[in-house]
Amino acid sequence: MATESLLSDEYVIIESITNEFSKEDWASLLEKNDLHHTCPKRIRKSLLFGIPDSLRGQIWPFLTRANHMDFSTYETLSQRKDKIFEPLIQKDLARTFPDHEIFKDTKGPGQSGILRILRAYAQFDNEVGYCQGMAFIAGLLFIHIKSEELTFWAFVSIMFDKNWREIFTSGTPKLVKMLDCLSSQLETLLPEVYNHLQTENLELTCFSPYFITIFGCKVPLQYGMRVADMFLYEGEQVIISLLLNMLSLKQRKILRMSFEELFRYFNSEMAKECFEEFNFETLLSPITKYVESVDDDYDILEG
Amino acid sequence: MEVDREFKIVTLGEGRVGKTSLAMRYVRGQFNEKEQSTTNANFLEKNIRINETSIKLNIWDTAGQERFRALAPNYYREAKGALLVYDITDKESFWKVVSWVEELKMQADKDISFVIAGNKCDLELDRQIPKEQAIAYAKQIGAAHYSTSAKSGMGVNECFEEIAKLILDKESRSGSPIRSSKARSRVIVKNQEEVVKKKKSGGCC
Repeated sequence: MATESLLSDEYVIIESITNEFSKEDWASLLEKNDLHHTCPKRIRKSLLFGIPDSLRGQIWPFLTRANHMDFSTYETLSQRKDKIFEPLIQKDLARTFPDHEIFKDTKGPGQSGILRILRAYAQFDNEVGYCQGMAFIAGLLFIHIKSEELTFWAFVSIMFDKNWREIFTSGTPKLVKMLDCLSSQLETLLPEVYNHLQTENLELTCFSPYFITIFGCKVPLQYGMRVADMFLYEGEQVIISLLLNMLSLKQRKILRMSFEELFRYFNSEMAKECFEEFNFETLLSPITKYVESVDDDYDILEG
Repeated sequence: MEVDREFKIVTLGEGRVGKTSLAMRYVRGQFNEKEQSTTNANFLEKNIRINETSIKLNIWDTAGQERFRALAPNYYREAKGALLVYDITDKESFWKVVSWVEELKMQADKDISFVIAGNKCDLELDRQIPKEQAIAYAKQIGAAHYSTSAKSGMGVNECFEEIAKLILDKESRSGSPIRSSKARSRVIVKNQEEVVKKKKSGGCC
């Protein structure tokens, strides 16, 4: 494989950017804690390839820069209970990853951990406070990061740097924007699918949980974790790309489905099926490459 | 099975009152103490028979979260029946039902039938909403009220079947069967034109 040297000394890694990071590379990156000067292409490639499970809990705070934050703030915030949001958070604790080991018990580490994390967030961002869906994001982060403080700041980074908070503000402006974006990309890149969904009268809002919980509540955790690997680095485009690629890879099947079948397929099976059958490189590839031409439909219309 | 009628029904109510649990109990006969929270909607269907009519119920089980309320019209649009659920141990959830009724009256199909379900009746000791108050309210808006428990199964079949009966009654009173939920044909025409147009301008082969 050809190796490429970078002329700029801005990058920490200068040899062979085409190779993904080894476990040792990741460890040394984490030690330097300098995301800004690390080659973006190589990070992306490494994340696509998959990161060492044992380092995920450190890599996520690294990618979100959570490990630069001041820790005493969290201590203070996590102790204040908000009159309005506290009961809402409490209600959702047992309903977040209810089958996962650390979330099973009311007094277990998962439920009490995200209670404090979400409580702190409600203080930190009073406009958003707490909204359903947030517990899944905090929960997914907490399972891997394990430290409440780091999870909190990683969560804050998603909400502010990636502006995910506007999914949870009144009228969900960010969600509306992303669904519009999905819709226009679908119309351009996969017109057959787009038209079929229109014909069947299926609204793209059926994809909203994928955005709201970053796939968290919709797929087995081992896949949710891989989505988060990419999302924490690249943001919303990851969700849109995943959905477009899935719709593209499954389009033959989708085009045969009725409204009810489509809703059910999108609501549960499609994502899981795709993660089982394809790797992340395929699922996040530039969409045009994978568009199969489904000429049969045209023939019927034209004939 | 031959289906005579197909009705779209929507479940609405505050978060964690048991909308999903009621729908799951009704359709699958199951109760899961640890139901995950719903972030958008679930779709369930059940075939039933009322008198001599076989009916397919398409049940849209929505998320209760207030801030996703902007998405709700996608689900209650063209619904012929609504199951409005509150939790008898949570006073606020009852007032949420009242606000849903207001919204549906303004925005939903004008023939929509309401049934109110006071859920979690297995927790009678923690009751916060007097049954009489809920029944009086239901009566006032012309709805039926059921005491339900998704956990024990109490009142579950009855409340869903009541919705189907109410819709059937409205049909027979208005003379013509109320058309089923999915008005598709008008969209198809438009889209076929679009597809053909795209094909011609795209020149992909």
